[in-house]
Amino acid sequence: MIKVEDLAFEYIRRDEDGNVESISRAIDGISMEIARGDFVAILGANGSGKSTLAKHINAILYPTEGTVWVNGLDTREEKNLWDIRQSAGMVFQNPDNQIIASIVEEDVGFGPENLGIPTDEIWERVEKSLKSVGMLEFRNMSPNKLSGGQKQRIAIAGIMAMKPQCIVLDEPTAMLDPSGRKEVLSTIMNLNKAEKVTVLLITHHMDEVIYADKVLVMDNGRIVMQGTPRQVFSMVEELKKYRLDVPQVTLLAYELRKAGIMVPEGILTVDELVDSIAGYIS
Amino acid sequence: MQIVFDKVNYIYNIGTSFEMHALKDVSFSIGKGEFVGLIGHTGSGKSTLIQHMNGLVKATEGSIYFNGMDIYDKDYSLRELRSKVGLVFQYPEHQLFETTVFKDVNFGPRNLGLDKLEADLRTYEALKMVGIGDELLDVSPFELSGGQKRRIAIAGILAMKPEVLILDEPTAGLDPKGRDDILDQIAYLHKESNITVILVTHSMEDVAKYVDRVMVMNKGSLAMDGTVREIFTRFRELEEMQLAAPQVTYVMNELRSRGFGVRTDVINVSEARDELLKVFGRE
Repeated sequence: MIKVEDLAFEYIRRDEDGNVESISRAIDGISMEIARGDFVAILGANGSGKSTLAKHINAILYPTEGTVWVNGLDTREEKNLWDIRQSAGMVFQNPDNQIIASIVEEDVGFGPENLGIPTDEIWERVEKSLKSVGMLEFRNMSPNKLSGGQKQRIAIAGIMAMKPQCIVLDEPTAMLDPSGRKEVLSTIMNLNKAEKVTVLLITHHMDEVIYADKVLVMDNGRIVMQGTPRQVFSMVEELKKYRLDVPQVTLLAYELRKAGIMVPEGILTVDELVDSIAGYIS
Repeated sequence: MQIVFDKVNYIYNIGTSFEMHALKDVSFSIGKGEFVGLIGHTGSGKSTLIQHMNGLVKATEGSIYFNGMDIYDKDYSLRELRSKVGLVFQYPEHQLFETTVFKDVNFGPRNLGLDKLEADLRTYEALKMVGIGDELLDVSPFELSGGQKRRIAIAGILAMKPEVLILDEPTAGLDPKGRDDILDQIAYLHKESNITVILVTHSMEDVAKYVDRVMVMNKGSLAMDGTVREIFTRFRELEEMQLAAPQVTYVMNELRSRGFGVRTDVINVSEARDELLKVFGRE
């Protein structure tokens, strides 16, 4: 679905006369592959290059070196641009910057309308996408009456209406409260499981990645760790080195292990920890 | 008491179909030097509440007192109130505008009408308080990282020497290390200068780690007000308000319900670890 090979990206800063002032390498040699239907999460500190990587996947940015293919299409070739943006949709952090229409269903219909889809089909798609994010009953409302989590689901529906094979979400829950985060996360998981959409989720919230198939950790423009959530979260000290942490239950399990209580490594949920402690005691 | 709210109501869009009762009979008092966490789901009235504290929004009914004075009194200077109650908005780095870090932080105290020497002194002090070194003074704030920008925005408020510092989700969008750094710095500041801090946050883990007292807003009312431990033991009620307790609280409660004699009022990882080690007989 997505293939990245030896990707590098440089920001070049110039002074007033156009001379190169500095070059910063935001992405420094990344290769990876994401298969259709995968749920991949990317973790990394501020400035580690996560968003820059994401923007390469729907051709908002182009590689300085290396190649990115989406569905076998090279993102550097201009003729592929529309196909790529249709197959890899992007959702950003701030819901208020992504909604343009004054009625929910018109906002969701904006994408397919732009693709030149016939009107009847637009309405079908709008209905189906709103249903898939659980927002159908709000179709005639004004988006500014919705909560942050609901707005973010509308933004996701807008992407779904373009029938992408892949959704890239760049910190979609950063501005939401706990219940909004839960809403958006379960929407994303549902799209991945039920609609088989490939998901690439960028986040700072460790507890959001525990359901991913695979976690990548970025630092200084490189991928420095990868594996299942369990594998990655069992390396508590290493994660701290990259300015990250682990969910509270994972940390508690880790602390217990350090004190000689051998609960399994890489505990991810409250239930897992409770089960293993209960098993240990009895 | 430093801040007193007495039956404060705030209604906006009165008489239209969008009429909204955003604060309902909110009463509380906060003493000098307290570290208060303010939680509540989106739309619960948190932001409206803090905007009342420095007079940005005027209550429809009720009274607010700051250091014993009625802020709605016609002789009361709201300008002075705003220099005493510093409000750091969400994503405050969007409000940076000057060409250098120093100038940006200097703007607030200069605007208060202080002479240059005093304003400069406060600027140095404030930047030191948030952990920004001298090497960054002449750098453009726009060239710094997200965490650094946010510290500079906070320094801009601190340079006005407020007695109360209100922070609206100061860690949104920061990585875990950046979150800890900023909150550690604020906790240090609170301890050193005895400034009153009101922290608006969605993170229950941060509440458990830093604050003494928690106020919970729900649908415009002050639904709970108590110590961190008291509030988190009422986690079922928190859930009904679309909030939650830290994960460790759930671990202990679940163990308890399975018949293990553990304390359930633990609020952080080290307390939970100690309690569990006791159960395992490894104290």
